[in-house]
Amino acid sequence: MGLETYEPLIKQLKNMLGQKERSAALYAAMKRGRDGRARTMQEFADFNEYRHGIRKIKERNIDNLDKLLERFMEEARKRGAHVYLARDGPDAISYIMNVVKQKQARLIIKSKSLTSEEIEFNEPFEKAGYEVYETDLGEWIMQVAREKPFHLVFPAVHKTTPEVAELFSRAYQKAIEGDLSAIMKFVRETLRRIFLSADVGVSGANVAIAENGAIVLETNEGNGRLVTSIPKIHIVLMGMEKIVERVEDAIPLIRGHAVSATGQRTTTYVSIIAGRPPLAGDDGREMHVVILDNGRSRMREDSWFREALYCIRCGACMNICAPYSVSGGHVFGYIYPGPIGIPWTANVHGLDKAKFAHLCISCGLCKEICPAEIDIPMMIARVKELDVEKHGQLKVNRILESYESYAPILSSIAPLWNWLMRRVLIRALMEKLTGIDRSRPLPEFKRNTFMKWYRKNAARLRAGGSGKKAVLFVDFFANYIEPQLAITLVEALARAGVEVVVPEQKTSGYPYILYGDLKEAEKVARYNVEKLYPYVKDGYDIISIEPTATYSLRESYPKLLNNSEESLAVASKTYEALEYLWALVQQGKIVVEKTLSGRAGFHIPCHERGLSHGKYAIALLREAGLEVEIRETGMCCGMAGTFGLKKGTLGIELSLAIGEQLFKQFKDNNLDFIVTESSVCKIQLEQGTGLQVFHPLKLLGDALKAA
Amino acid sequence: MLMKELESIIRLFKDRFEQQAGRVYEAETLDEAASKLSNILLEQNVRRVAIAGMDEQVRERIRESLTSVGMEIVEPRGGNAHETINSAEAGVTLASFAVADIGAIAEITNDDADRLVSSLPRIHACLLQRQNIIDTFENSAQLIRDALSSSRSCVVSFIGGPSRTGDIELKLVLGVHGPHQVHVIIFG
Ligand code: SF4
Ligand code: SF4
Repeated sequence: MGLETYEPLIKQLKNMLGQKERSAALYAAMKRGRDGRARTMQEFADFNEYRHGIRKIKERNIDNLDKLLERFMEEARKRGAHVYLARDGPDAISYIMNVVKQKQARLIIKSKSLTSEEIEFNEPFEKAGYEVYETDLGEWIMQVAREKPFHLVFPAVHKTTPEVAELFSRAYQKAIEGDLSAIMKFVRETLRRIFLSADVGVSGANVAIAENGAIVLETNEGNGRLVTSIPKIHIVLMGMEKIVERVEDAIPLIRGHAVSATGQRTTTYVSIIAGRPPLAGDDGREMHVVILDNGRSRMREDSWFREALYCIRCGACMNICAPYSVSGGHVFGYIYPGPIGIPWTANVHGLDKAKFAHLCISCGLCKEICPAEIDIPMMIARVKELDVEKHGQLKVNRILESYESYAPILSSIAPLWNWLMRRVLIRALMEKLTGIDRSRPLPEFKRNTFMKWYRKNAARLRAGGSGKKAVLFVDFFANYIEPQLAITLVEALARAGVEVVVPEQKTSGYPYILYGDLKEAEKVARYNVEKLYPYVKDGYDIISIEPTATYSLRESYPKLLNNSEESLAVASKTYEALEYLWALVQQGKIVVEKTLSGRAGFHIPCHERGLSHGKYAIALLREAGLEVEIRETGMCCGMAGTFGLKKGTLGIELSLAIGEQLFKQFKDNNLDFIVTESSVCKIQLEQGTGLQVFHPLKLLGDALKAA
Repeated sequence: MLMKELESIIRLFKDRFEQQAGRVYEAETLDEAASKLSNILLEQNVRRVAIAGMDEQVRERIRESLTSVGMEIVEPRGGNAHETINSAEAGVTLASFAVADIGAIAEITNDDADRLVSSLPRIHACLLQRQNIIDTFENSAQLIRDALSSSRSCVVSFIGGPSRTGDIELKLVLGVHGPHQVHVIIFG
């Protein structure tokens, strides 16, 4: 059902997966952005604190937006600016059209403004006979090529130097050599004449400051300064969410933006413009500020999408998004590309334009890199949900989102099921019926689940002794597939004198988020929090093995349950298994014997990046004698829960394309094996690298001894 | 502020501004700064210079130093000001202050001709008084606020080196629409 609405997306994606040079260029751009960010972050005492500060600033200012909007308009008017509040794109365009008509303007120059792209500004003005020039190089290339931006910060990153030369040569009927300096000479000379003769300059605003009616413009090329100074008319087109109260609020946004985008400390130019100064004494000049709503007020009232208004358009989220890295902004985007492009597109351009939401594999990393700590993955889940409500769910998604609920049956017939799954024909049939790709090795179910073992051992595990008590959150994998992991863990806890109980619980339900079924996700969250909260109140810690489950308890449940007191209490007492063990080692309650040797590559699962980046697992393994080195691209391995199990382009093909860069890192480095805490990354890495993949608890089994 | 502290702030500014492809020089006095300026511009074969509005005494000193080595000073006036400034090979400004941790100079201007002096020519040279270098961007908030509230229209421009782009194949190119070189001479 609804499959046909996926078809254009799948077709575009397939086409992109075939264009390796483009995705290589994009990958390089993304890596450059991330590496730059990582470097400059070091100059901050604690960049995560800084991010948190940015979030608080945005929260407060969006809360007060009504008042700030009034204040900003009043202050800007005091400075002689004309201020217009535009309901939507056509409204903004007709206001601006009027201004340029009255002034008998002819030539309009623009500095980069995503807001102007949002309302597709250029077309109506070109149609009306005005000359419109984008002056940011990347944007100009896109304008001449008549394409939409491939990347937010580097719009033309997919074009090579000769392609750009060719493009300009053709458009301007001029022979331009295919080298960078020839192109730059052409660009500077051509646009310089344009700058000097333009009548109207249109800019965006990165921030607007209410207390003094000023706007902030951040650019690198210097075009923004020329656009706002030479023409008689300066028109600012800005989204209403850009307003902050004070200069003190603006500064962290300016810094956070540049650091997150490219690792610059600030952009080369930061112009804070208040009113319209004269030019060499000529003061017959005007400033118009057009403040665009276009769905923003509605987003502000929507508890799911309000956070999208915290976006400062740094582009960092697209620098870490694995499916974006192989699909690019033309597929993974409409006008706004990348992760944050999904909620923005759905809200300002309409749900139907946001089909690319289904490319998101819910790795969660965009949230971790965002300078405003925006929970983008959860907003995306909401967009998927809205789309599913409208067009129906794919069958394979319906099966996979709730596959965990079949586990009890499958485990009870484990030998038969596992035998069936090894039969090629059966897998082919299953592929046809369910959409699960036949080439994916599926983990085998155990008939003797962890819970069976636990029931026999419950009384012994209750003994405790140290005064510490803990609840185990088992989740799917450690219960049905590899019970030994959970047994190793609780035995080690028992030896350390920790009382362990395993109350009734459901598996994490995270797949519901991946496939956009937030109602089911919320039900599971509510159930688990209800079961766990009484223990937390009673002084128990919660220990969780699977990173995705830990992440659900800590991050997703509070969000799904509106930050209820119970959900926050559960979140605050949830520990990663290896984090808990490491603490016991530090307290001298467990000793680690040197039982391991060899050289392992460590893979950090995405949800682990929202936790401790695997640092406790690594510490324990090293303590046990293993050489461990992290190998990473910084992005998702491509498996993304069950996403990579699916047949076809929007499944295993995308998944393996994403994995390629990471597989290389493991294959090329003479490693004995791979360690990772995630059960699904394991499937992907074994298939992609041919190396064996172990869970740290499996390796540590015998090494954890009572003190 | 302690001398030592100021010295380390200056060092930080210099390091970061230079990392961002700007150039920094130091001079004891205004006279020394002015002659350093003319040397730098001579070396770049500059013949026509635009000077932004600034303290008259400083402006006079700069003008003397540049004309004494044969350079022409252009005077932007009236409707053609931007063309005049565009004809200069270098623009000279006096920074209002500078911020060490972001490696940027700041110019407070009330006339856009002054902004064009540091935007249009290929070379931008900027004098900066030693005592006007502050430590962090955050600490410039009050300076920004004071500047903006002191007149009806005002622009505060932070400049962190020459203009740049990486828009084609991510290759860094300096001097796109703005200056190719930015020289800062610290004095006083
Ligand atoms: S959650 Fe992961 S896959 Fe989804 S948009 Fe964010 S980074 Fe991309
Ligand atoms: S969502 Fe966050 S990371 Fe993405 S562009 Fe906006 S501010 Fe940057």
